Amino acid sequence: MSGEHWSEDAHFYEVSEDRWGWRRFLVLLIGLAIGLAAGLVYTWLLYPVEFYNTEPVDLHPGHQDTWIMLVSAAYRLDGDLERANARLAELQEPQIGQRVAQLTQRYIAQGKPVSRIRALALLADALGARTPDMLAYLATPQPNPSPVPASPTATAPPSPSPSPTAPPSPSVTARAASETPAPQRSPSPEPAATRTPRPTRTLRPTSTPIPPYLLQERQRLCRGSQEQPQIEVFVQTEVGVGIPGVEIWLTWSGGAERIVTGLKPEVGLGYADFVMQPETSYAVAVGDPSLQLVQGLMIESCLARQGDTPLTSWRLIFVSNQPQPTVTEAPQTTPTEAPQATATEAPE
Amino acid sequence: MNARRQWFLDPRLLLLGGILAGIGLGLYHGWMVDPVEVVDTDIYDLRADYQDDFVVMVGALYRLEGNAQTARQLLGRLNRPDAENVVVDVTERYIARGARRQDIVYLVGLAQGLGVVTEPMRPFLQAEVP
Repeated sequence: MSGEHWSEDAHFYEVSEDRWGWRRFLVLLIGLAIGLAAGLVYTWLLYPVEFYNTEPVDLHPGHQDTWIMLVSAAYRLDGDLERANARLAELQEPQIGQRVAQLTQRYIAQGKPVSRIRALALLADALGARTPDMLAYLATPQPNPSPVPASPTATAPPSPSPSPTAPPSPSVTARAASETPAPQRSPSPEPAATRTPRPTRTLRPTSTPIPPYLLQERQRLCRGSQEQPQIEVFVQTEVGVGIPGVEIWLTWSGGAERIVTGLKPEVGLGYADFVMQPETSYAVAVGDPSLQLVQGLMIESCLARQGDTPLTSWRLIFVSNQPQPTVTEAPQTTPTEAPQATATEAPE
Repeated sequence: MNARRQWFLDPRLLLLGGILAGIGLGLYHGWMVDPVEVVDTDIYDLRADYQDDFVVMVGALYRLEGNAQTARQLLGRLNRPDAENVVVDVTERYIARGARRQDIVYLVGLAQGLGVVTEPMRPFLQAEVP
């Protein structure tokens, strides 16, 4: 026997309350669930809140890194730390110096262009976040920082990218002299006519050893699987002439090795190589064994898409930080010649 | 028979009412309480002035490295069809409003590198013309 039936006008519903109350509740609940689901699908998937006019703090971390890199590039050119700070402040990062330093470390490890590493290192240093790995880049002379002059007629064309075979030539001393008249060597470190916009950057000639050689390029090489992974070192002058007889110090956990450039003149007078062992992390110093210029070199697998999944070798190009006597040598394999496969460089 | 005539006991109306209430709750929750979070946005989502600053900084990087391809790739993140137009637009606006000379020079240099120097930019190129 049914406890329900429609009335004549069909607008009212008669029901036995004690028998059908739970069903009414269930129907209501089902309706709510369906509506809620529909609402969420609409708001989360079909028509989500659109975000535009966002701020750098909302950027994807990768884009934030790009932002930092660009800030460092601008800082390197104009030396305006206040402005760089203002731009970085948009990221709302409490430890922004550390963030810049970490990015610098990552760029160093990934073998990014030296110009960017140097810019980041300068910015990190200005923010008080210097790390030992930055030392070489901080001491490295800047190739083309020529800040844009204030004169209305003085606009310089874009400087060409520093070529690996023609690195920046001015020495550290010359640069310091050109930007800040006798900044640190003077007994009274108050340069009256300083136009440098990098007040926090000091070369600290008395406490910071300047490495005799600087890392100019670090390439990851993917060759055939038959070849044994090795570290290839090229040491050269600023104009790309190989320097023989330079000691290369390779250290790893539980071992060390010294190799000398010039023993394979058919490759280059400034060339030396070292066969790598699996699962060993190498550090490389040139000239002075206490100044490691490269760390964390390990054998890695190349990408599977490269066929026989060869293992990586590393090519390191060091440039003398001091004037070298001209050395004439026979044509050699240019270190910048592309190997069979090298890691591609992304914009950031 | 102990029955009552109550229109709101119609299961169809109850279902409809539940759905409507649920939709209302869903919209409120999805848009107000727990909207899609503003994280991991792209460069092209940035506010216009940040995008302009981004272009200026790309100009600085271009001045530093002289690599037009890199500059194009970075400008491509603005998700606009023509990188050159973006640079021209920003540069001319900066010139018109008398922005920092340094920024203008970066921008003009970038425009020059992309091959889109316009008339308002020429004064900033004077020194570069031999």
